[in-house]
Amino acid sequence: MLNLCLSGFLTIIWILFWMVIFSRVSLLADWTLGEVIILTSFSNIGWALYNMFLEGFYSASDKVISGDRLERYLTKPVNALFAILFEDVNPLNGLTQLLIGVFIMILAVQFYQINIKPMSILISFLVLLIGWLTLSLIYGTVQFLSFWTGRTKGVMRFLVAFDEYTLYPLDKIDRSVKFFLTWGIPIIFLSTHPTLILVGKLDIYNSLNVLLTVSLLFVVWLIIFQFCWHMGLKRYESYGG
Amino acid sequence: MQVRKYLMVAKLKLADIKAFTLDFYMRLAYYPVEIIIIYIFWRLVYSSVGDTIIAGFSYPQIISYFMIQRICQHMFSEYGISLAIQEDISSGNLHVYLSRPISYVKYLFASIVPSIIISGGFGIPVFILLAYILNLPFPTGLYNWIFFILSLGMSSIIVFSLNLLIGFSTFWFRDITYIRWLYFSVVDFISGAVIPLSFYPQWVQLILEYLPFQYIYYVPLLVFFDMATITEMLKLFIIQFLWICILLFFVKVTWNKGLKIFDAQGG
Repeated sequence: MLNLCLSGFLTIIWILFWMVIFSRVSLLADWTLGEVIILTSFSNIGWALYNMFLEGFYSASDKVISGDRLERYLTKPVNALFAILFEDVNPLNGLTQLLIGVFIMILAVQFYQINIKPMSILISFLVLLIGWLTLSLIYGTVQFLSFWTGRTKGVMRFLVAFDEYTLYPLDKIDRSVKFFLTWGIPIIFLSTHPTLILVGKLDIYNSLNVLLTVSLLFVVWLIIFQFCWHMGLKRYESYGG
Repeated sequence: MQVRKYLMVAKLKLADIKAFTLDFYMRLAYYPVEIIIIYIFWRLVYSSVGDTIIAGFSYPQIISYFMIQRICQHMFSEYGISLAIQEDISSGNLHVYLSRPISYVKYLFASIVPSIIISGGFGIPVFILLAYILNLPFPTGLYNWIFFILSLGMSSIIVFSLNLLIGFSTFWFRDITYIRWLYFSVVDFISGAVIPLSFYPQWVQLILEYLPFQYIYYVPLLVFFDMATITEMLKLFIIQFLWICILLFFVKVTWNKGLKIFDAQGG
């Protein structure tokens, strides 16, 4: 209950922040207040899903670096990679945040009378989900670099600094930065694109195009992730692990 | 003799300088990432109203404001002291400090001073360099720097006192995770870390004037950017100083009352 109150309180603070900004501007580069509140909700929902199911990608390095723990995973009659990534999954971790995100989104859609189509809901949430999976794979890949480098804390801190970007609209920004946030660290798929799709600012053709792009990125990072894991394991075994 | 003990604590912390410097370089790597989103976001805001002055800030000024604010935030982010206090009280480790001839509060303060000095010592020159390269406004007057450093010094004591109060709440509540979380979330919005306070409606600004939080970032930065007259600066300094006195008084009261609970529970 306390968790619910605090998550709700923080979301309200962010909405108040946007209200302050929108008291100074009528439109923020084509974005209305209602759309920005939906963007905040998407950010909330994404983080909730990450906390619920994907946090293992972030903490994989600790398990890999401490050799004895990896040995334990490797000797179990289960898929070691799966165990490392999903052993600590706790759906209750982000449940309240998820509920608040969905609640605020519904409220914003109703209050600002935003027309949404069922197909847009489906595509926007698919983009959100695949986007977060892709980012998690990037986190995981960096974590597995610790097979070679020993420590990845610095790179992780650098990556995590991009978290804040999910709270702002990123479609009308400098082209080179936008390119990096699409193809480098695909933050743009975590809140900006899902919002644009949901509120109908992207037509069905462009929405599917976004879905295809993020899916493509997902496949590429899945291959890199798997490759790093297998190469890392080989190195680990060749060192007598 | 009294001071020497705490200087020794600070020296011991400085001995850990290698690890700290590494940590600081890691921070420098993501400092540009933070600045880029600030640049992007405020560019959107200012281009939406036609590049004018909003709430007393021009676009270059607001970028400068957040660049220096982030450096200050990094200086204060070493204040993991509320967590350390929670651990000391919960584990009973506080007893170790109490049995030694030192003041726990002064010990904590001595242990964070090196990190403030080092973070500021690295951060401010980086800001000046970036401001020079990007042609951003920064004060050239000596008195701005002196007043800013003085004000920042006082704001560091305010942050320290607030963190002590949160840490000491462990005497009453076993788990202060939520209190810490709430504090860090809310303070960012009312101290000028997320948005300058002049952006808020007049009535909100009026309420915030009666709270100590604006003296953490907003007031030192007003001083830094010469946005207050000398008379206003002096008035702000006096109020900032009064807040330090009030907070330290509460620190003393909660510490004394908390210790009684700690002793009653068997230390």
